Amino acid sequence: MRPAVAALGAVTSLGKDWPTTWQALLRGARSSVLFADFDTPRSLHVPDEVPVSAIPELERSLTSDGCGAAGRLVRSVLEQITLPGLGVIRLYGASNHSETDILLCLSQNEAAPSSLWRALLIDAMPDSLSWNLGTWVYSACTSSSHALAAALLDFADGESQDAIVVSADALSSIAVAGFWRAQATTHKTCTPFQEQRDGILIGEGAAGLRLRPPSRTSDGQIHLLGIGMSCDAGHPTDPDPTGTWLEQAIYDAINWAGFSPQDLRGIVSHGTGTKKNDAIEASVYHRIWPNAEVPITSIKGAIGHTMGAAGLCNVLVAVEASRTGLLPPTVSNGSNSIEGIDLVRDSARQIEVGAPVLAVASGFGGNNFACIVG
Amino acid sequence: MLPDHQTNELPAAVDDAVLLKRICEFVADAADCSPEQVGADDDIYQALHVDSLGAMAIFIDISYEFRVPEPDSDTEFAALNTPTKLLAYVRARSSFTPEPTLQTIAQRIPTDLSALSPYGDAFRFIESVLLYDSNRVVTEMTWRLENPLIMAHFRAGPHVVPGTLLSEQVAQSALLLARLEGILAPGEHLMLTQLRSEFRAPAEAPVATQAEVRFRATVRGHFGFGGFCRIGETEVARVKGIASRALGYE
Repeated sequence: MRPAVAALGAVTSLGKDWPTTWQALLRGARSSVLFADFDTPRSLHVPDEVPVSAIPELERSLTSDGCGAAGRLVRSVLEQITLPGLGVIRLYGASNHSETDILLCLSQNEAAPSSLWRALLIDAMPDSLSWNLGTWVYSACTSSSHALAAALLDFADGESQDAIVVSADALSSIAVAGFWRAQATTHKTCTPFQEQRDGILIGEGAAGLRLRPPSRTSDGQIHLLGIGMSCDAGHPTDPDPTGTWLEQAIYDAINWAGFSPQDLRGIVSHGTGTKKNDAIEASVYHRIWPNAEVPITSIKGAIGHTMGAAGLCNVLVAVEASRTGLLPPTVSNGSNSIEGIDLVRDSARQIEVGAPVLAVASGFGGNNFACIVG
Repeated sequence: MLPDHQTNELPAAVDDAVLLKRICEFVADAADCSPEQVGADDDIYQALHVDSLGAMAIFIDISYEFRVPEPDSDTEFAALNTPTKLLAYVRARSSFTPEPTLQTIAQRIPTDLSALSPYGDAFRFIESVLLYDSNRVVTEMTWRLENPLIMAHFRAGPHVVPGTLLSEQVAQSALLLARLEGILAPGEHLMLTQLRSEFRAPAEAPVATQAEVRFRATVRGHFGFGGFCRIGETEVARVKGIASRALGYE
């Protein structure tokens, strides 16, 4: 079964809902602030000048039961994609670090309420938000991708009729400090797949989609057509230098969908803006499409790397790109694109409406994910 | 409840109340509740909300601890839905046989770990195999201060080896054991589907940890394994998990 995408929801640094975010992406907007201007507990050292992509006016306080910014983001997306009277529906949730700031709160406050300790132990977000039959996935930056895969596999097994996939991560000084210490953060502007790129723009955000069985009539709906997953287990944090496993995941998705590589019309890439990832990812695309036949974009220069939600954000962009026939541009700094790929930059690119579009995600632990929609 | 390979009891030697208490502990483990919340006639699916993987874990525990075979059919599997019925099944099907003692085990040490394990060097948490015999492997990993994973954990010290890495050492050892036992076809891997760990003491780097693993039971094609992580005689972690066959890329 190829489930249909019935609704999209998001909260990003560019918009408090999906339509606003999408329009901003099409305009080539980007959002970043200095870490110095970001309001969060500061138990870990991060230089003030490190850029991050933060959601304006997001309430970041932690309630006594452990619900903070990440939990609020999930709730906001659920409100966008949930309809009254929907009945029992399966929920697939995902996060990379969830309410990590619970750790900071506990470490800084000896009199922290015991409920916070319990929230940490049982994980605040699932406990406070999960519905019946909820499945929660934590697999680094492929968390939401794997949640989507779980939903799709349940559809394929006939175990699911309606499902919601939702994912959120909020900025945390722990996460920013980790990437900064790894020298992976950008110094100014995140420009994926360009020669002068210098690193990730750490971001935050939430994405969600509602799936339902495909309708019998062709009503212009976009469907999930196929997925592929692999784990190279080569290194805890570095990508597989050969890209072989990412390539295999993409081919698996193409085969699942019953396509050949030439059938695809667009790629929403992982494209983090780091030297290593983008070089390897571009080489994979070049091997599959040696003549750069398929245009490629990355949204991480615009809304930042939304961590666990990043994979689902890419799927949302792929769905909207197929539905509208527009691929949003990659944030550019004027330097040349990596050779061998057709990078969409400067303005949105028109593609065939309803055409299959590939969304890609990778994560720590050697995880690779590919999804085709159309 | 985590595995204790040395204390399996012959069911016939214990009365029903003791046996039932043990079964309720297995059910409570799978239902993520306390044993006191499990009634003898509670439906493990309807009342205790145990899912299919949890049911698998219960049968793996029972199969291993009491040496009973897995149910013959899916119908029988589903019908064993209360602790009381599980107790009756154990009584009817148990065939306890002692395990081989350490003295009967010959040491056969494989050396080419890279050929037996799919992990990259930085992701392989087995440096050497100390012992291998039928259904038992003991591996060793030295956690050095210069290992980036250790350096990053409590930067100002103490450099405690994260529990997830100790669990990973046990899980990787289980995969290694599966390869040594020849239970995987070429191209097959084991995919970890459930893991429960109990940590007994911190392992502070630099330190060498020894993981001892064996397969406990196979139920419906899923492999249950159990193991320990030790520093010499000190137990630092107990781990048990379920793994399923999965095709990998070779």
